[in-house]
Amino acid sequence: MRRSQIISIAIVLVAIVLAVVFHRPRMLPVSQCSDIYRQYYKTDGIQATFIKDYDLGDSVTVDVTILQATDSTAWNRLLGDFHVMVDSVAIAMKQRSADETWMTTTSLFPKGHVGAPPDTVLTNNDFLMVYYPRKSLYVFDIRQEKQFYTILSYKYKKYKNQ
Amino acid sequence: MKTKNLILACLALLGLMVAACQKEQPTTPATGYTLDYTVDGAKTTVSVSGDEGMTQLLRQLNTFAREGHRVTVAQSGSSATAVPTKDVVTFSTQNEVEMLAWEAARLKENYQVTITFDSQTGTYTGTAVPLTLEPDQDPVIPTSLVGTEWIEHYEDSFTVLGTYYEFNTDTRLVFETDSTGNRCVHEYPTSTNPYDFDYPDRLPFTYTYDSVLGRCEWYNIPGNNTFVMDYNIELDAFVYISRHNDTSIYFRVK
Repeated sequence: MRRSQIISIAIVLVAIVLAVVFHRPRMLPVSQCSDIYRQYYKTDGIQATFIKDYDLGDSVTVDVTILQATDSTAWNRLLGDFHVMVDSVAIAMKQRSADETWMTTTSLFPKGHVGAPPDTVLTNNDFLMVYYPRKSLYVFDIRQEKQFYTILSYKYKKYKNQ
Repeated sequence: MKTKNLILACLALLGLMVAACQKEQPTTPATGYTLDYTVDGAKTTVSVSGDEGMTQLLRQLNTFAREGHRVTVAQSGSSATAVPTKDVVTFSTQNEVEMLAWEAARLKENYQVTITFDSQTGTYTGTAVPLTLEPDQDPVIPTSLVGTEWIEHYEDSFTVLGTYYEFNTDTRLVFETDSTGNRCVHEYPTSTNPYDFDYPDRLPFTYTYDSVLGRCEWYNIPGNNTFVMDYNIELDAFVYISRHNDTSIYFRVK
């Protein structure tokens, strides 16, 4: 093998190693995760995930906490905890059950909700989105107007690509 | 063949009519306000049409106040209907941009919005359920609000320390004391310039609620200009944006 070939292979290997190092997910300590994540990450029936600076495209990032229920009991608890209105859920589920091609989400600013517990961990900037097919609840930490619209836009792209 | 084409054309026309009927339900427009105001004790009753008229009137009264006149404003009669009654609203479209805009608008009006998408037909259906706010509820902050550090609270008044507020739509200022539930409202002129939120233009200024007289006062600290508005000018239900201890300051984003 020629020396130039060895150098080329070495460069490629170094590039691969660097790519892996710099693109691997960063693991945050629990203390740096959101309050909502810390409240639910040890809860049975709920899989909690916190993603810092999730890339929505167009140079827009947002911190998001994802709570996914693994059973109906946990799901009902989550909807209750975040005061998602039952009527709206009923509408959504009815439409879904009629035809599985339906994909349903509910969005709201939960702080304005009647009955929101005073000790809730939600902040004033939280934007809540419920994704029924996966029994998942997303809490976005909104700091800029652009984030709000980009999240909605991102959701509509997902509708199309489901 | 011609008959078949005619039937297809009729079906297409019918589809268009159905689509047109699926547009958002209309809401009741704002009507007007009948207001009593006094300048140095001289009382005047005026009918104001719509929010723009109200804004112009308040600008004029503000000018009087800045010139050192004592100004009071009170709503009279019951003609004020600033905001339509909220109902469950639905909207259906195949246009994703239209649907996104509809959803964003409803969310900002404090609705809970449920969207379903039928991948077979490509149709979005939105259902918006109004959320009712309670006076003791923590606030909803519009995404355009920049911080709340400019509110400094003490006793029965609070001081606004910022240089301006940044909103993207018309804004109404409301403040109240929780102990009485009385509310003060002041509407700001922001319809033409989204960043024209400069009244009172000399900051900082202080708001004080007078529970005996049932009215609010605000004045510029450097000067002596005082603007007084009776609390019963309340025109609206409120979206709560910020609160500080027992006194809350609210902005309503239309």
